[in-house]
Amino acid sequence: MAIEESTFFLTVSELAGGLRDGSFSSVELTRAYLDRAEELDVPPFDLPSEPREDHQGKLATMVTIARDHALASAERADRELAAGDPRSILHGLPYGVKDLLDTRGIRTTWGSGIFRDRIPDRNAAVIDRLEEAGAVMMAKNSLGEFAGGNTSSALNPWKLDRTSFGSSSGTVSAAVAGLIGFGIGTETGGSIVFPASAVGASGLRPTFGRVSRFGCMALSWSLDKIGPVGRSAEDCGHVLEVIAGRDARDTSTADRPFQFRADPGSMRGRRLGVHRSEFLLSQSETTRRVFQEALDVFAEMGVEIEDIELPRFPTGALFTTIVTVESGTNFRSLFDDGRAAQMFSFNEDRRAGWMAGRMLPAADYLTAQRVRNQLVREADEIVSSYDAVIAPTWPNGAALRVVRDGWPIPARNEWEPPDDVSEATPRLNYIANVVGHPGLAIPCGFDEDGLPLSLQIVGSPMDDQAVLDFGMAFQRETDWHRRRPPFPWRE
Amino acid sequence: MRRRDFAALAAASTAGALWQQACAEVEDTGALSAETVGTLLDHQGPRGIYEDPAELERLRRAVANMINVQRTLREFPLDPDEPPVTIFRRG
Repeated sequence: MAIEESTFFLTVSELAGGLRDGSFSSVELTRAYLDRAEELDVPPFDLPSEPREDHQGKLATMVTIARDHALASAERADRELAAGDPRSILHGLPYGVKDLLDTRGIRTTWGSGIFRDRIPDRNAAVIDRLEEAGAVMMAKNSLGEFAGGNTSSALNPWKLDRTSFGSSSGTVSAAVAGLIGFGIGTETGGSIVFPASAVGASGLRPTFGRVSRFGCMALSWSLDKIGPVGRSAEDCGHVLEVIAGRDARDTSTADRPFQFRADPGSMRGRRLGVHRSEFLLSQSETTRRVFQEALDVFAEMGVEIEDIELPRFPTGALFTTIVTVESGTNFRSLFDDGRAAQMFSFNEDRRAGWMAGRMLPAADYLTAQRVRNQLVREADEIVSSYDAVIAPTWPNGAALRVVRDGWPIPARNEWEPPDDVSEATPRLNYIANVVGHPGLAIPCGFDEDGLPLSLQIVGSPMDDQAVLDFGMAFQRETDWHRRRPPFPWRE
Repeated sequence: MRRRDFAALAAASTAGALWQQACAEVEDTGALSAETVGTLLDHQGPRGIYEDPAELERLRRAVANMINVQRTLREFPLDPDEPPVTIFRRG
Protein backbone atom coordinates (compact mmCIF):
# COMPACT_ATOMS: atom_id res chain seq x y z
CA MET A 1 0.00 0.00 0.00
CA ALA A 2 1.35 3.47 -0.87
CA ILE A 3 2.56 5.61 1.99
CA GLU A 4 1.30 9.18 1.84
CA GLU A 5 3.33 12.25 2.68
CA SER A 6 1.27 12.76 5.81
CA THR A 7 2.16 9.28 7.06
CA PHE A 8 5.74 10.32 7.76
CA PHE A 9 4.54 12.84 10.31
CA LEU A 10 2.12 10.65 12.25
CA THR A 11 2.55 10.12 15.97
CA VAL A 12 3.59 6.80 17.48
CA SER A 13 0.03 5.79 18.30
CA GLU A 14 -1.19 6.79 14.82
CA LEU A 15 1.60 4.80 13.16
CA ALA A 16 0.82 1.84 15.40
CA GLY A 17 -2.84 2.18 14.42
CA GLY A 18 -1.89 2.15 10.74
CA LEU A 19 0.03 -1.09 11.23
CA ARG A 20 -2.83 -2.59 13.21
CA ASP A 21 -5.57 -1.77 10.69
CA GLY A 22 -3.48 -2.80 7.72
CA SER A 23 -3.07 0.66 6.21
CA PHE A 24 0.56 -0.31 5.73
CA SER A 25 2.96 -2.98 6.83
CA SER A 26 6.14 -2.45 8.81
CA VAL A 27 8.18 -3.26 5.71
CA GLU A 28 6.25 -0.72 3.63
CA LEU A 29 6.56 1.91 6.34
CA THR A 30 10.23 1.24 6.97
CA ARG A 31 11.10 1.20 3.29
CA ALA A 32 9.26 4.48 2.81
CA TYR A 33 11.16 6.15 5.66
CA LEU A 34 14.45 4.75 4.35
CA ASP A 35 13.76 5.97 0.80
CA ARG A 36 12.78 9.37 2.12
CA ALA A 37 15.94 9.57 4.24
CA GLU A 38 18.15 8.59 1.33
CA GLU A 39 16.50 11.21 -0.86
CA LEU A 40 16.40 14.13 1.57
CA ASP A 41 19.10 13.50 4.11
CA VAL A 42 22.35 12.17 2.66
CA PRO A 43 24.82 15.05 2.18
CA PRO A 44 27.62 15.16 -0.43
CA PHE A 45 30.22 14.46 2.26
CA ASP A 46 30.97 11.62 4.62
CA LEU A 47 29.66 11.61 8.14
CA PRO A 48 30.70 11.99 10.88
CA SER A 49 32.19 15.32 9.98
CA GLU A 50 32.87 18.76 11.19
CA PRO A 51 29.95 21.09 10.61
CA ARG A 52 29.97 22.01 6.94
CA GLU A 53 28.32 24.52 4.61
CA ASP A 54 28.02 22.36 1.50
CA HIS A 55 24.99 20.26 2.36
CA GLN A 56 23.30 21.03 -0.98
CA GLY A 57 20.01 21.11 0.84
CA LYS A 58 20.35 17.74 2.54
CA LEU A 59 19.67 17.64 6.27
CA ALA A 60 22.56 15.33 7.28
CA THR A 61 20.70 13.98 10.30
CA MET A 62 21.99 10.40 9.85
CA VAL A 63 25.57 9.19 10.18
CA THR A 64 24.55 5.69 9.12
CA ILE A 65 21.36 4.49 7.47
CA ALA A 66 21.00 0.81 8.40
CA ARG A 67 18.83 -0.26 5.50
CA ASP A 68 19.41 -4.02 5.51
CA HIS A 69 19.10 -4.24 9.28
CA ALA A 70 15.94 -2.19 9.28
CA LEU A 71 14.20 -4.18 6.57
CA ALA A 72 15.09 -7.49 8.24
CA SER A 73 13.66 -6.19 11.53
CA ALA A 74 10.56 -4.93 9.73
CA GLU A 75 10.00 -8.32 8.08
CA ARG A 76 10.20 -9.99 11.48
CA ALA A 77 7.81 -7.42 12.90
CA ASP A 78 5.28 -8.06 10.14
CA ARG A 79 5.38 -11.81 10.76
CA GLU A 80 4.77 -11.32 14.47
CA LEU A 81 2.06 -8.72 13.98
CA ALA A 82 0.32 -11.01 11.46
CA ALA A 83 0.37 -13.76 14.09
CA GLY A 84 -1.50 -11.41 16.38
CA ASP A 85 1.38 -11.07 18.77
CA PRO A 86 2.23 -7.37 19.20
CA ARG A 87 5.13 -6.85 21.57
CA SER A 88 4.37 -3.21 22.29
CA ILE A 89 2.91 -0.10 20.70
CA LEU A 90 6.34 0.42 19.11
CA HIS A 91 6.23 -2.93 17.31
CA GLY A 92 7.15 -2.40 13.67
CA LEU A 93 7.88 1.32 14.02
CA PRO A 94 11.16 2.59 12.54
CA TYR A 95 13.30 4.79 14.78
CA GLY A 96 16.60 6.65 14.76
CA VAL A 97 19.08 6.65 17.62
CA LYS A 98 21.78 9.17 18.43
CA ASP A 99 25.11 7.71 17.37
CA LEU A 100 26.31 7.46 20.95
CA LEU A 101 24.52 4.20 21.68
CA ASP A 102 26.16 0.95 20.63
CA THR A 103 24.39 -1.10 17.99
CA ARG A 104 25.76 -4.56 17.39
CA GLY A 105 27.45 -4.85 14.01
CA ILE A 106 26.48 -1.31 13.00
CA ARG A 107 29.06 1.41 13.35
CA THR A 108 28.81 3.74 16.30
CA THR A 109 31.05 6.74 15.87
CA TRP A 110 30.25 9.02 18.82
CA GLY A 111 30.13 11.74 16.17
CA SER A 112 33.90 11.64 15.81
CA GLY A 113 36.17 10.89 12.91
CA ILE A 114 38.40 9.10 15.42
CA PHE A 115 35.77 6.36 15.67
CA ARG A 116 34.58 6.51 12.07
CA ASP A 117 35.00 2.75 11.70
CA ARG A 118 34.13 1.66 15.24
CA ILE A 119 31.80 -1.30 15.10
CA PRO A 120 30.59 -2.53 18.50
CA ASP A 121 29.86 -6.17 19.19
CA ARG A 122 27.05 -5.41 21.58
CA ASN A 123 23.82 -3.42 21.84
CA ALA A 124 23.28 -0.68 24.35
CA ALA A 125 20.63 -1.58 26.92
CA VAL A 126 18.16 0.84 25.31
CA ILE A 127 18.65 -0.80 21.90
CA ASP A 128 18.00 -4.23 23.40
CA ARG A 129 14.81 -2.98 25.06
CA LEU A 130 13.57 -1.42 21.84
CA GLU A 131 14.40 -4.58 19.93
CA GLU A 132 12.53 -6.64 22.52
CA ALA A 133 9.59 -4.28 22.01
CA GLY A 134 9.68 -4.92 18.27
CA ALA A 135 10.84 -1.48 17.18
CA VAL A 136 12.88 -1.19 13.96
CA MET A 137 16.24 0.57 14.23
CA MET A 138 16.78 2.32 10.89
CA ALA A 139 19.44 4.98 11.46
CA LYS A 140 22.22 6.31 13.68
CA ASN A 141 21.61 10.00 14.03
CA SER A 142 24.27 12.66 13.77
CA LEU A 143 25.41 14.64 16.78
CA GLY A 144 28.06 16.98 18.01
CA GLU A 145 31.37 15.15 18.39
CA PHE A 146 31.46 13.40 21.76
CA ALA A 147 28.05 14.83 22.56
CA GLY A 148 29.34 18.37 22.45
CA GLY A 149 26.92 21.28 22.23
CA ASN A 150 26.03 23.01 19.03
CA THR A 151 28.51 21.40 16.71
CA SER A 152 26.58 18.91 14.63
CA SER A 153 26.38 18.72 10.87
CA ALA A 154 22.58 18.26 11.06
CA LEU A 155 20.57 21.17 9.69
CA ASN A 156 17.40 22.76 11.02
CA PRO A 157 14.54 21.88 8.63
CA TRP A 158 12.66 25.08 9.50
CA LYS A 159 15.44 27.21 8.05
CA LEU A 160 18.70 25.79 6.85
CA ASP A 161 20.83 28.71 8.02
CA ARG A 162 19.66 28.29 11.62
CA THR A 163 21.19 26.08 14.25
CA SER A 164 19.59 22.83 15.31
CA PHE A 165 21.53 23.23 18.56
CA GLY A 166 22.91 20.02 20.05
CA SER A 167 24.05 17.62 20.71
CA SER A 168 21.02 15.45 19.76
CA SER A 169 20.54 17.59 16.66
CA GLY A 170 20.29 14.74 14.16
CA THR A 171 17.65 12.95 16.17
CA VAL A 172 15.36 15.95 16.62
CA SER A 173 15.74 17.22 13.04
CA ALA A 174 15.00 13.75 11.68
CA ALA A 175 11.85 13.49 13.81
CA VAL A 176 10.48 16.89 12.79
CA ALA A 177 11.34 16.40 9.10
CA GLY A 178 9.44 13.11 9.05
CA LEU A 179 12.49 10.93 8.45
CA ILE A 180 11.94 8.58 11.42
CA GLY A 181 8.97 7.34 13.43
CA PHE A 182 10.55 8.43 16.71
CA GLY A 183 14.05 8.93 18.07
CA ILE A 184 16.43 8.42 20.96
CA GLY A 185 18.64 11.24 22.20
CA THR A 186 20.85 11.89 25.20
CA GLU A 187 21.27 14.82 27.53
CA THR A 188 23.98 15.91 29.93
CA GLY A 189 23.20 19.63 30.22
CA GLY A 190 20.53 20.28 27.59
CA SER A 191 21.26 18.05 24.64
CA ILE A 192 17.72 16.74 24.16
CA VAL A 193 15.66 19.78 25.14
CA PHE A 194 17.76 22.48 23.47
CA PRO A 195 17.77 20.90 20.00
CA ALA A 196 14.12 19.93 20.48
CA SER A 197 13.44 23.60 21.11
CA ALA A 198 15.31 24.68 17.98
CA VAL A 199 13.28 22.47 15.65
CA GLY A 200 9.92 22.19 17.41
CA ALA A 201 10.22 18.55 18.46
CA SER A 202 8.88 17.04 21.66
CA GLY A 203 11.85 15.77 23.65
CA LEU A 204 11.99 14.23 27.11
CA ARG A 205 14.93 14.23 29.46
CA PRO A 206 13.83 11.54 31.96
CA THR A 207 14.68 11.57 35.63
CA PHE A 208 18.34 10.71 36.15
CA GLY A 209 18.40 6.97 36.74
CA ARG A 210 15.22 6.13 34.80
CA VAL A 211 17.01 4.74 31.77
CA SER A 212 20.13 2.58 31.63
CA ARG A 213 23.19 4.17 30.03
CA PHE A 214 24.88 0.82 29.52
CA GLY A 215 26.40 0.76 26.07
CA CYS A 216 26.17 4.52 25.60
CA MET A 217 29.26 6.69 25.46
CA ALA A 218 29.73 8.33 28.83
CA LEU A 219 30.29 12.06 28.77
CA SER A 220 29.60 12.53 32.47
CA TRP A 221 28.61 9.57 34.61
CA SER A 222 26.67 11.61 37.12
CA LEU A 223 24.86 13.81 34.58
CA ASP A 224 24.10 11.72 31.47
CA LYS A 225 20.52 10.69 30.67
CA ILE A 226 19.02 8.94 27.63
CA GLY A 227 15.56 9.99 26.51
CA PRO A 228 12.95 9.86 23.74
CA VAL A 229 12.28 12.36 20.98
CA GLY A 230 9.09 12.45 18.98
CA ARG A 231 6.45 14.55 17.33
CA SER A 232 4.35 14.62 20.48
CA ALA A 233 4.61 14.34 24.23
CA GLU A 234 2.58 11.14 24.03
CA ASP A 235 5.24 9.70 21.71
CA CYS A 236 7.82 10.34 24.40
CA GLY A 237 5.70 8.60 27.02
CA HIS A 238 5.23 5.45 24.96
CA VAL A 239 8.95 5.24 24.26
CA LEU A 240 9.97 5.92 27.84
CA GLU A 241 7.79 3.06 29.04
CA VAL A 242 9.79 0.69 26.85
CA ILE A 243 13.28 1.96 27.60
CA ALA A 244 13.00 2.70 31.33
CA GLY A 245 13.88 0.33 34.13
CA ARG A 246 16.53 -1.09 36.38
CA ASP A 247 19.72 -2.43 34.81
CA ALA A 248 22.40 -3.95 36.99
CA ARG A 249 25.00 -2.86 34.44
CA ASP A 250 24.19 0.79 35.19
CA THR A 251 24.19 1.24 38.94
CA SER A 252 22.53 4.63 38.66
CA THR A 253 19.29 3.06 37.50
CA ALA A 254 16.39 2.92 39.91
CA ASP A 255 14.23 -0.12 40.44
CA ARG A 256 11.18 1.89 39.38
CA PRO A 257 9.47 0.69 36.17
CA PHE A 258 7.60 3.38 34.30
CA GLN A 259 3.99 2.60 33.40
CA PHE A 260 2.84 5.28 30.98
CA ARG A 261 -0.69 6.64 31.12
CA ALA A 262 -1.58 8.21 27.76
CA ASP A 263 -4.57 10.12 29.09
CA PRO A 264 -3.53 13.05 31.27
CA GLY A 265 -7.06 13.37 32.62
CA SER A 266 -8.32 16.67 33.93
CA MET A 267 -5.71 19.34 34.61
CA ARG A 268 -8.07 21.38 36.78
CA GLY A 269 -6.52 22.14 40.12
CA ARG A 270 -3.03 21.03 39.16
CA ARG A 271 -0.32 23.43 40.24
CA LEU A 272 2.22 24.84 37.83
CA GLY A 273 5.14 26.93 39.01
CA VAL A 274 6.26 29.52 36.46
CA HIS A 275 9.87 30.65 36.54
CA ARG A 276 8.88 34.13 35.39
CA SER A 277 12.36 35.64 35.28
CA GLU A 278 13.29 33.35 32.39
CA PHE A 279 10.27 34.49 30.41
CA LEU A 280 11.63 38.01 30.76
CA LEU A 281 14.87 36.98 29.04
CA SER A 282 13.04 37.04 25.72
CA GLN A 283 13.69 40.50 24.33
CA SER A 284 11.26 40.17 21.43
CA GLU A 285 7.69 41.28 22.05
CA THR A 286 6.48 38.58 19.67
CA THR A 287 8.31 35.89 21.58
CA ARG A 288 7.08 37.13 24.94
CA ARG A 289 3.51 37.15 23.63
CA VAL A 290 3.83 33.60 22.31
CA PHE A 291 5.10 32.35 25.65
CA GLN A 292 2.37 34.17 27.56
CA GLU A 293 -0.32 32.77 25.28
CA ALA A 294 1.07 29.30 25.98
CA LEU A 295 0.79 29.88 29.72
CA ASP A 296 -2.78 31.11 29.14
CA VAL A 297 -3.61 27.71 27.62
CA PHE A 298 -2.76 26.07 30.93
CA ALA A 299 -4.75 28.68 32.84
CA GLU A 300 -7.79 28.06 30.65
CA MET A 301 -7.58 24.36 31.55
CA GLY A 302 -7.97 25.29 35.19
CA VAL A 303 -4.32 24.84 36.09
CA GLU A 304 -3.33 26.97 39.07
CA ILE A 305 -0.39 29.09 38.04
CA GLU A 306 2.03 30.67 40.47
CA ASP A 307 5.33 32.47 39.90
CA ILE A 308 8.37 30.89 41.51
CA GLU A 309 11.95 31.79 42.25
CA LEU A 310 14.73 29.31 41.79
CA PRO A 311 17.73 29.21 44.11
CA ARG A 312 20.81 31.14 43.05
CA PHE A 313 23.65 28.68 42.87
CA PRO A 314 26.89 28.70 40.86
CA THR A 315 25.29 26.21 38.49
CA GLY A 316 27.65 26.97 35.61
CA ALA A 317 30.68 26.35 37.83
CA LEU A 318 29.11 23.11 39.09
CA PHE A 319 28.38 21.88 35.62
CA THR A 320 31.82 22.82 34.29
CA THR A 321 33.60 21.08 37.16
CA ILE A 322 31.59 17.89 37.08
CA VAL A 323 31.62 17.46 33.30
CA THR A 324 35.28 18.32 32.72
CA VAL A 325 36.53 16.09 35.53
CA GLU A 326 34.35 13.16 34.53
CA SER A 327 34.95 13.60 30.79
CA GLY A 328 38.65 14.17 31.28
CA THR A 329 38.85 10.95 33.24
CA ASN A 330 36.76 8.96 30.77
CA PHE A 331 38.64 10.17 27.69
CA ARG A 332 42.09 9.85 29.21
CA SER A 333 43.18 7.27 26.68
CA LEU A 334 42.62 9.73 23.81
CA PHE A 335 45.33 11.94 25.28
CA ASP A 336 47.62 9.10 26.27
CA ASP A 337 47.72 7.63 22.78
CA GLY A 338 47.53 10.94 20.91
CA ARG A 339 44.17 10.40 19.21
CA ALA A 340 42.89 13.55 20.87
CA ALA A 341 44.75 15.46 18.16
CA GLN A 342 42.24 14.13 15.62
CA MET A 343 39.22 15.74 17.27
CA PHE A 344 37.41 18.26 15.12
CA SER A 345 38.84 21.76 15.27
CA PHE A 346 35.86 23.32 17.05
CA ASN A 347 36.51 20.96 20.00
CA GLU A 348 40.01 22.23 20.71
CA ASP A 349 39.02 24.36 23.71
CA ARG A 350 36.73 21.64 25.00
CA ARG A 351 39.59 19.16 24.78
CA ALA A 352 41.79 21.50 26.79
CA GLY A 353 39.02 21.74 29.38
CA TRP A 354 39.07 17.95 29.79
CA MET A 355 42.79 17.99 30.47
CA ALA A 356 42.30 20.81 32.97
CA GLY A 357 39.61 18.67 34.62
CA ARG A 358 42.10 15.83 35.00
CA MET A 359 44.45 18.14 36.85
CA LEU A 360 41.85 19.24 39.38
CA PRO A 361 42.49 18.02 42.92
CA ALA A 362 39.94 15.53 44.20
CA ALA A 363 39.05 17.87 47.06
CA ASP A 364 37.75 20.45 44.57
CA TYR A 365 35.65 17.86 42.76
CA LEU A 366 34.17 16.81 46.12
CA THR A 367 33.48 20.44 46.98
CA ALA A 368 31.50 20.70 43.76
CA GLN A 369 29.54 17.59 44.67
CA ARG A 370 28.80 19.03 48.12
CA VAL A 371 27.45 22.24 46.57
CA ARG A 372 25.47 20.04 44.22
CA ASN A 373 23.94 18.11 47.10
CA GLN A 374 22.76 21.34 48.67
CA LEU A 375 21.21 22.41 45.34
CA VAL A 376 19.47 19.03 45.11
CA ARG A 377 17.77 19.59 48.46
CA GLU A 378 16.72 23.16 47.72
CA ALA A 379 15.54 22.46 44.19
CA ASP A 380 13.61 19.37 45.28
CA GLU A 381 11.85 21.41 47.93
CA ILE A 382 10.70 24.05 45.45
CA VAL A 383 9.67 21.72 42.64
CA SER A 384 7.86 19.28 44.94
CA SER A 385 5.51 22.11 45.96
CA TYR A 386 4.01 21.97 42.47
CA ASP A 387 2.90 19.31 40.06
CA ALA A 388 5.43 20.78 37.63
CA VAL A 389 7.39 23.95 36.97
CA ILE A 390 7.87 25.64 33.63
CA ALA A 391 10.16 28.02 31.76
CA PRO A 392 11.08 28.64 28.13
CA THR A 393 13.39 25.88 26.97
CA TRP A 394 15.37 28.64 25.29
CA PRO A 395 14.46 32.34 25.44
CA ASN A 396 14.31 32.73 21.67
CA GLY A 397 14.04 30.86 18.40
CA ALA A 398 17.09 29.21 16.85
CA ALA A 399 19.94 31.61 16.10
CA LEU A 400 22.11 31.62 13.00
CA ARG A 401 24.08 28.47 12.53
CA VAL A 402 27.50 29.76 11.58
CA VAL A 403 29.45 32.66 12.91
CA ARG A 404 33.01 33.64 13.52
CA ASP A 405 35.88 31.69 12.02
CA GLY A 406 33.47 29.20 10.52
CA TRP A 407 32.71 27.71 13.93
CA PRO A 408 29.12 26.58 14.17
CA ILE A 409 28.51 28.49 17.33
CA PRO A 410 25.16 30.26 17.06
CA ALA A 411 25.33 33.98 16.53
CA ARG A 412 23.71 36.05 19.17
CA ASN A 413 20.57 37.17 17.50
CA GLU A 414 19.33 40.58 18.40
CA TRP A 415 16.81 39.06 20.75
CA GLU A 416 19.36 37.36 22.99
CA PRO A 417 19.54 38.80 26.49
CA PRO A 418 22.74 40.66 27.43
CA ASP A 419 25.32 38.49 29.13
CA ASP A 420 25.02 40.19 32.52
CA VAL A 421 21.25 39.71 32.56
CA SER A 422 21.49 36.15 31.36
CA GLU A 423 24.17 35.19 33.86
CA ALA A 424 22.25 36.70 36.77
CA THR A 425 19.15 34.64 36.00
CA PRO A 426 18.97 31.08 37.33
CA ARG A 427 18.10 28.73 34.50
CA LEU A 428 15.62 25.97 35.17
CA ASN A 429 17.25 23.70 32.61
CA TYR A 430 20.70 23.75 34.14
CA ILE A 431 19.39 23.30 37.66
CA ALA A 432 17.16 20.43 36.55
CA ASN A 433 20.05 18.70 34.82
CA VAL A 434 22.41 19.05 37.76
CA VAL A 435 19.83 17.72 40.24
CA GLY A 436 18.36 15.04 37.98
CA HIS A 437 14.80 16.29 37.45
CA PRO A 438 12.82 15.16 34.40
CA GLY A 439 12.08 17.79 31.74
CA LEU A 440 9.89 17.78 28.64
CA ALA A 441 10.41 20.29 25.84
CA ILE A 442 7.34 20.97 23.69
CA PRO A 443 6.77 23.47 20.87
CA CYS A 444 4.46 26.37 21.75
CA GLY A 445 4.55 28.73 18.79
CA PHE A 446 6.86 30.56 16.42
CA ASP A 447 9.00 33.66 16.52
CA GLU A 448 8.85 36.48 13.97
CA ASP A 449 11.27 34.61 11.70
CA GLY A 450 9.11 31.49 11.68
CA LEU A 451 11.40 29.51 14.01
CA PRO A 452 9.83 27.32 16.71
CA LEU A 453 9.60 28.37 20.32
CA SER A 454 9.49 25.83 23.13
CA LEU A 455 8.57 25.42 26.76
CA GLN A 456 10.30 23.08 29.18
CA ILE A 457 8.13 21.41 31.82
CA VAL A 458 10.12 20.06 34.77
CA GLY A 459 8.94 17.73 37.49
CA SER A 460 10.03 16.08 40.69
CA PRO A 461 12.33 13.06 40.53
CA MET A 462 10.56 9.99 39.17
CA ASP A 463 7.45 12.04 38.34
CA ASP A 464 8.02 11.81 34.60
CA GLN A 465 4.30 11.14 34.14
CA ALA A 466 3.47 14.59 35.54
CA VAL A 467 5.59 16.43 32.98
CA LEU A 468 4.11 14.26 30.25
CA ASP A 469 0.59 15.03 31.53
CA PHE A 470 1.20 18.76 31.19
CA GLY A 471 2.71 18.26 27.74
CA MET A 472 -0.10 16.03 26.51
CA ALA A 473 -2.77 18.33 27.91
CA PHE A 474 -1.17 21.30 26.13
CA GLN A 475 -1.02 19.37 22.88
CA ARG A 476 -4.64 18.34 23.27
CA GLU A 477 -5.56 22.06 23.13
CA THR A 478 -3.03 23.26 20.55
CA ASP A 479 -1.54 22.05 17.29
CA TRP A 480 1.99 23.48 17.38
CA HIS A 481 3.39 19.95 17.55
CA ARG A 482 1.54 19.12 14.31
CA ARG A 483 3.18 21.88 12.29
CA ARG A 484 5.65 20.70 9.67
CA PRO A 485 8.59 22.57 8.25
CA PRO A 486 7.54 23.69 4.76
CA PHE A 487 9.28 21.80 1.95
CA PRO A 488 11.41 22.76 0.05
CA TRP A 489 13.12 23.82 3.23
CA ARG A 490 13.75 27.53 3.55
CA GLU A 491 17.28 28.69 2.97
CA MET B 1 56.79 1.47 52.68
CA ARG B 2 58.05 0.34 49.30
CA ARG B 3 60.04 2.75 47.17
CA ARG B 4 57.36 2.67 44.45
CA ASP B 5 54.58 3.52 46.91
CA PHE B 6 56.61 6.34 48.37
CA ALA B 7 57.28 7.76 44.91
CA ALA B 8 53.56 7.70 44.10
CA LEU B 9 52.72 9.38 47.39
CA ALA B 10 55.35 12.03 46.86
CA ALA B 11 54.12 12.70 43.34
CA ALA B 12 50.54 13.12 44.52
CA SER B 13 51.63 15.49 47.25
CA THR B 14 53.71 17.44 44.79
CA ALA B 15 50.83 17.63 42.32
CA GLY B 16 48.59 19.02 45.02
CA ALA B 17 51.19 21.58 45.99
CA LEU B 18 51.65 22.51 42.34
CA TRP B 19 47.94 23.13 41.94
CA GLN B 20 47.96 25.39 44.99
CA GLN B 21 50.93 27.21 43.51
CA ALA B 22 48.97 27.66 40.28
CA CYS B 23 45.98 29.01 42.21
CA ALA B 24 48.23 31.50 43.98
CA GLU B 25 49.72 32.58 40.65
CA VAL B 26 46.29 33.28 39.18
CA GLU B 27 45.23 35.16 42.28
CA ASP B 28 48.41 37.28 42.33
CA THR B 29 48.84 37.95 38.63
CA GLY B 30 45.45 37.21 37.09
CA ALA B 31 47.04 34.72 34.74
CA LEU B 32 48.87 31.43 34.62
CA SER B 33 52.34 30.99 33.17
CA ALA B 34 53.11 28.43 30.49
CA GLU B 35 55.84 27.11 32.78
CA THR B 36 53.39 26.33 35.58
CA VAL B 37 50.98 24.67 33.18
CA GLY B 38 53.83 22.65 31.73
CA THR B 39 54.79 21.40 35.18
CA LEU B 40 51.19 20.50 35.98
CA LEU B 41 50.99 18.72 32.66
CA ASP B 42 54.13 16.71 33.31
CA HIS B 43 52.43 15.16 36.32
CA GLN B 44 49.74 13.80 34.02
CA GLY B 45 52.17 11.86 31.89
CA PRO B 46 53.69 12.41 28.43
CA ARG B 47 52.83 15.80 26.95
CA GLY B 48 51.51 14.32 23.73
CA ILE B 49 49.52 16.94 21.79
CA TYR B 50 50.74 19.58 24.24
CA GLU B 51 54.17 19.58 22.66
CA ASP B 52 52.38 21.89 20.23
CA PRO B 53 52.66 25.49 21.57
CA ALA B 54 49.15 26.35 20.33
CA GLU B 55 47.69 23.45 22.28
CA LEU B 56 49.68 24.39 25.37
CA GLU B 57 48.31 27.92 25.10
CA ARG B 58 44.76 26.57 24.96
CA LEU B 59 45.49 24.46 28.00
CA ARG B 60 46.93 27.43 29.84
CA ARG B 61 43.66 29.31 29.32
CA ALA B 62 41.61 26.26 30.29
CA VAL B 63 43.50 25.70 33.54
CA ALA B 64 43.27 29.38 34.47
CA ASN B 65 39.55 29.22 33.81
CA MET B 66 39.25 26.08 35.94
CA ILE B 67 41.05 27.79 38.80
CA ASN B 68 38.62 30.71 38.64
CA VAL B 69 35.68 28.30 38.53
CA GLN B 70 36.96 26.56 41.64
CA ARG B 71 37.28 29.85 43.50
CA THR B 72 33.57 30.38 42.89
CA LEU B 73 32.75 26.99 44.36
CA ARG B 74 35.14 27.27 47.31
CA GLU B 75 33.59 30.62 48.23
CA PHE B 76 30.04 29.26 48.12
CA PRO B 77 28.54 29.14 51.63
CA LEU B 78 28.15 25.47 52.37
CA ASP B 79 26.49 23.89 55.36
CA PRO B 80 29.40 22.24 57.17
CA ASP B 81 27.35 19.03 57.44
CA GLU B 82 26.71 18.87 53.69
CA PRO B 83 28.03 15.61 52.21
CA PRO B 84 29.00 15.22 48.56
CA VAL B 85 26.80 13.51 46.00
CA THR B 86 29.15 10.62 45.49
CA ILE B 87 26.45 8.01 45.09
CA PHE B 88 23.85 9.57 42.88
CA ARG B 89 20.45 7.95 42.63
CA ARG B 90 17.18 9.64 41.98
CA GLY B 91 14.80 6.84 42.81
